[in-house]
Amino acid sequence: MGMTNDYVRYARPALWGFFICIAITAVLIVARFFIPTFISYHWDGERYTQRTRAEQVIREAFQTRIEKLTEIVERASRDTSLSTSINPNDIPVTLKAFQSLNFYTLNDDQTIDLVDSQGNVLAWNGTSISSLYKRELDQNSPEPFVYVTQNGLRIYLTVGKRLAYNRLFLLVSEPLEVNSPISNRFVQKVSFCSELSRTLGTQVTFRLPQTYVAHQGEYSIPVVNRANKTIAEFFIAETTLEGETSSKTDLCMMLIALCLACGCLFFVSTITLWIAKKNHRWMTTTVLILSLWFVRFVWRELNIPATLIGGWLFNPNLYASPFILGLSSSLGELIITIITAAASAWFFFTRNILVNETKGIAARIGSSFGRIGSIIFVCIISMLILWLFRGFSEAVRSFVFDSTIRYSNPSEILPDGAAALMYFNSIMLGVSLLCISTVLIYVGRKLLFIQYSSAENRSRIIFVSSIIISIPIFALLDRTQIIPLLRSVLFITICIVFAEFIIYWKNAGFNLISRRWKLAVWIVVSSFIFGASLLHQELQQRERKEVEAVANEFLRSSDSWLTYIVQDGLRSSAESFTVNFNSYSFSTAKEDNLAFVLWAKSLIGKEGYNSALILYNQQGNEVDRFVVGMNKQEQQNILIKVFAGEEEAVHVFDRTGPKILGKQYGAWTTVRDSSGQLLGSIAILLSERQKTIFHEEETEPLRQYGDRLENDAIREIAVHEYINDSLVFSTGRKLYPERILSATMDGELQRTTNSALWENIIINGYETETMFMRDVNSPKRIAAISLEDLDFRWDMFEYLKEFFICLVVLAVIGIFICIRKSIQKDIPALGFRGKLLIGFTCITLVPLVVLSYYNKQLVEERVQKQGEIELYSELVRLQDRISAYVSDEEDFVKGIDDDFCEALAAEYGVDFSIYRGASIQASSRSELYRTSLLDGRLNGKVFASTILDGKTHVLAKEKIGSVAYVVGYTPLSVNESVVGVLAIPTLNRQKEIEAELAQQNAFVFGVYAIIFGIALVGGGLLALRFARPLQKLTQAVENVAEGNLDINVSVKSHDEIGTLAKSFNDMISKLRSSREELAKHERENAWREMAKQVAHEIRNPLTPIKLSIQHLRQAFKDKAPEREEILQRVTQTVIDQIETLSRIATEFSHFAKMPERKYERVDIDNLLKEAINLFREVQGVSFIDQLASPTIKVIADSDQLRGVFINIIRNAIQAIEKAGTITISTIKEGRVCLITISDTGLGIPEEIRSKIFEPNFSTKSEGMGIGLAIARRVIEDHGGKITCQSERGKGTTFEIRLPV
Amino acid sequence: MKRMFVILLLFYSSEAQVRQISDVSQKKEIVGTPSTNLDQQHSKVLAVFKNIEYGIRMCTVEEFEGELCAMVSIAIGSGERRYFSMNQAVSVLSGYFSGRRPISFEFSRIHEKGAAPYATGRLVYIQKGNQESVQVYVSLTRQDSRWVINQFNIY
Repeated sequence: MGMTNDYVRYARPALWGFFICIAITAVLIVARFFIPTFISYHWDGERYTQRTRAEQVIREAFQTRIEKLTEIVERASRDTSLSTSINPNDIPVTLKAFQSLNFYTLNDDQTIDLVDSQGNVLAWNGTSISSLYKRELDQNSPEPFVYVTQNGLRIYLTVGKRLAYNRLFLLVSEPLEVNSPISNRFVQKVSFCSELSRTLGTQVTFRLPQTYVAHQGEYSIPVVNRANKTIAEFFIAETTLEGETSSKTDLCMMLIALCLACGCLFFVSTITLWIAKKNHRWMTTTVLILSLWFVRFVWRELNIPATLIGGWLFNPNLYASPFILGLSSSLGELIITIITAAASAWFFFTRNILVNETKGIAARIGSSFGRIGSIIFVCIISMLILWLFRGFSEAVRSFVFDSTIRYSNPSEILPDGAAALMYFNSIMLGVSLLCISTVLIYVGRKLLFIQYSSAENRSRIIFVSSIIISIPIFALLDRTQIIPLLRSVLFITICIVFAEFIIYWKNAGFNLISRRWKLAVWIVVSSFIFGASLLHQELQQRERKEVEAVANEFLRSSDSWLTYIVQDGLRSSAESFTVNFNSYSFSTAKEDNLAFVLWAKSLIGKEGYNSALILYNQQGNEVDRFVVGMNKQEQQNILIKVFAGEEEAVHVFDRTGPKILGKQYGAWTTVRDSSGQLLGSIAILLSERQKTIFHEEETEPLRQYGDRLENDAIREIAVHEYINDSLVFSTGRKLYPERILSATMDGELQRTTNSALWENIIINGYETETMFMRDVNSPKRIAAISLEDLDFRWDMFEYLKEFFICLVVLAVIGIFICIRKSIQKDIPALGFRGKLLIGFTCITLVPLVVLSYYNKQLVEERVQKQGEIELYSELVRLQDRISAYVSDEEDFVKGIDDDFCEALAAEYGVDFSIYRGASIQASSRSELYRTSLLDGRLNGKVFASTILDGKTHVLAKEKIGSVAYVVGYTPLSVNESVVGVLAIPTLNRQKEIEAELAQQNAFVFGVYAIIFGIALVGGGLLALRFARPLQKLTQAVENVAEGNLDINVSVKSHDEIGTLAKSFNDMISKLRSSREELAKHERENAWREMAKQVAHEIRNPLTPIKLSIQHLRQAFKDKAPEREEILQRVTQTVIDQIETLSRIATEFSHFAKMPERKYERVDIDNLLKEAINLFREVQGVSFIDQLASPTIKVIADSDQLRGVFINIIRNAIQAIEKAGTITISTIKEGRVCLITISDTGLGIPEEIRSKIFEPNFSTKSEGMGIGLAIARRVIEDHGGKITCQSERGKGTTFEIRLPV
Repeated sequence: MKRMFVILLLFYSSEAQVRQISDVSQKKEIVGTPSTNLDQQHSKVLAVFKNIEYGIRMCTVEEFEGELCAMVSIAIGSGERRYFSMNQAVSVLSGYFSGRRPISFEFSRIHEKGAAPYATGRLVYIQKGNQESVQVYVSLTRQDSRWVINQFNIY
């Protein structure tokens, strides 16, 4: 009935949902066919609408930008410190102006300039937009004015306003676009147009007026200022009819897919509920599992939910695998698949083990195969489990190898999102595997148990032997050998132990259904244990593969991609020059930064490698050069060799230094006009060392290989090269090896068939894992890469992070249980022990959270401080050196130039720049300033602090592209007057911060985690210790409530709980005494009653005897003629009454002394059936039996028990007046067999209900009224209990509980 | 002394200037002279490139997925270059090609000699009704006596 109600409640809405989805899908499918026609018909109008919308969106977006800057300008214009007259000679006022300007810009990209009417900049904050603003200033209007301008690589939007009081101008600017497709490494990409493109769904480009002509398929939207002058133009790629149709069709298809996905879900829900209604357990389980997978596959085909959610979760760049027919094509798909697998496995597990459907299967299989067949079946099960485990191992391998996820990040306490999800996947997959394997093991165990006639130990031995036999068979058959045998054996052992625990609990009568969530916790923790070790093993394998790939790259003669981009750079630069420039361009090449322009447009600029482009005129004289990240020495060395070679041939050069990895490439070509006349030539140089720009940047050897090798922040990774067994190159600092390669190593390399040989060797006292690889093209050359071994604390830290995910999974299970119970209005109360445990956990966790929060800040501050100290010492050193060189201001102006700076930078190994006033005078990296990669104007705050305020050291953050630097400044003085500012850049030391954090995390938190674990365990034990006495007391109270006073709570503690226990024991003792008194009193009363009854019963027959004898005596005395008759009558009467007396005596004798009992294993169902059969023929009474299956057996005296049942059934029949039903049921509740006998008779009045079990109480005319009393005695003697519930007019129910 | 030092630096830098500009001559590659073994190598490389060209022309990865290296470097658009496993590379490239209707593709330049042959060409396709084009660069490496793709750049 309940299932039917559930079915109606849920299936009907599901069915409706299904039909609605189908209907919507049908409509959408029809609509899809009409979309092209519809769009085509309305295309002109649609185009107009789109253009109008684009214009509106663009103008609004542009206007929003303007308003944002206008708001800043208006706020700043109200600042009184900016409204006064500012004279550059008036230092306090000018300083105040600089300090005020600092407050108004919202981010680092914005610039604010205070400018006089001639356009000269008086104070500023931010990048210089223009050195002279005069052209742009609107002198006439007090309202803000707007214009767009280009400076270097960027296009800026500027809003300005004339200040009322002092006729100065405030100009606020921010970048809109970067002009060239230059790498993000050099110039941080800013794109106003990309936001617009996303909004409008079409390509939008931005140009200054009259610099671009719209191509076919484009239209322009001009933007004008208040004076109606066009300040910018937007070019929008027009959407084509095909594009619009395609876009709308895609949307329609997505909606169809969504409807089908929902319809599929509703459909399978309906089917599953319908099957469940039939209450056939096996079919329900099978259908449920099949439904889950059906939905999964359909959703995958429809690309749901990837289409809806998208993002990094469904991006194959993060993870992709061809496993399971596309169900793991991305991380998101993998998660959904694994959750489906885990849910299916859990259903399979709970149905087969917890609900005990398996035994029937085992019995059926056993009867089909016999003993030998069963053993073979167990072997097959074992091999199946090993095969599944192999599949699991391959899946975990795929999690590592088919992903670009960084699993190990020791500078972070928690794993990042993608790594956390992968840990979750490995745990849940392990859960699925463990569930299925445990069921299979359980089936095998039950099978052999049945075959060997329930001899448990014997069946266990045969079972284990069968498993052991199967393992080597599997090892022989398994050709992939993907997993070590020991690991498989360990896994099977875990499954066997788990299955044995389940069998033990079942035999002990525990209700596994109510304990299934505890089982879930065990399963999750077990899967973490064997899954985590497998994952870490695969991570180690991946790292080795990456090291081998790095060695291959090191040994290769050249990189084809770098060769290609040099050639392409040459080709594109030459073409670009030919198309856009002419021979006269060479004469102004330096002023026009021609070399930079060509470089920025080429593939080299886009790729972001350290490189150089040099232009030469017809005579072969250098006219312009752009260089980034290569010093003069390097350039010279390469150019000499390049020009010695053929034109357009790419030359590859090996390392230029003993510690420098990476090759260099160079090539040159001539530039000719259309008639073939020589215009000039171009040379391109490129360095593989991608990441360094400044001298001080350490060439971390493997940074050029990106983030492929993990943990390089916390351990040294050194590359070595041997030629003829002699060390010729090494990047090692700690790991600097012996100069000669050992003969054994060389021999090993000769013998090995693999390309790489891994060995654990000790270098300078450090344990390392070193890989050796021979160059196949040059066998005398050997590359080696050494990885410093990390100790166990690092591994432990990573395991802890993964265990955290395991705890999160358990927490989710806990939350799910709580939600489920709250829906069922069965909110679980947190026990005393639970509260204690939570208290302990919180107390230990809080310091951890606080520590982790402050630790990162402390480490960053400490490292930054250290960096500042080193930077200051560099500043002082160089300052002294320059001061020694410069004797007066003229020396400073004429002597400090770029060449001087480069020479000094090479000598000191540190790049620097020198400012004169606010402008750059010279730099060791002058090309960075010429090309606007670095701002040639001194930072406003620095200018104010050093030149105006006289501070000796100032720090400021700068950026080149995406890399942040800290720049130290110090004033340069000549003859006690400040003539300039010295600036030294240094890296932000992010790597040092990460390394320090990693050290802290691994060592401190690893220890803290151990302490936390100890605190948790200790807390649990303490909680247990506190809670146990209370549990004992609670149990005792429950026993007392059931009437058992024969208990004593033993609590040894001397605290309040001990006092409570003692008081409780005293109370029980008193209760026992009074109960005994009461019982004695009742017994006496009972005996009194019985004696009264006996006397009464005996008196009854004695009276007629006496009267009869008296009558007879009188008859014979009177010699009555009928005295013979009277004699007959009287004798008969006497005999009858003696019979009655005898019967009374017999019944009382039965009550007083029960016969000897014969205890045996009794089938309750059989006894009940026998009792029922005695009364089957009674008219008007129908029997309903709901006997348990399998039948329940108890240890009892079958005769007595049968007598009890007969007695009760007889009473029930007697209680039924005309027609009625007697229902008899049995059920096993834990270790108790509950027998219920209910009738639909008259019921027992409440006032006499308590007396029915008393001897000699009866409401009937016949009988002694001791039947139920005997029944109670029999049941109690069997250790059971009998109770009665009744309702007048409705019936009576007797419940008998017997121990099983 | 310092000025002399600067002059010397300038003089040294003059070394970097072109001494002599030769006439345009036929481009020569760095690698050695061909031989019969090399001819076989070249033909194998060309065969692989032919497969790849066909696959790119059809915007489908199935044609050349068997020719991917165990670790392939892929860069698409303005994204960074990353290394992917073969399985992942197939998915990444399939994801890129799906939704693009090819119009034409041909390797305009094939450098089949040397230890790292490469080829490049322009792929023209239609996506969402708009015609676009990208440059494709593919390079091969030798692995277990086979030529396999180790780099695939689209820019």
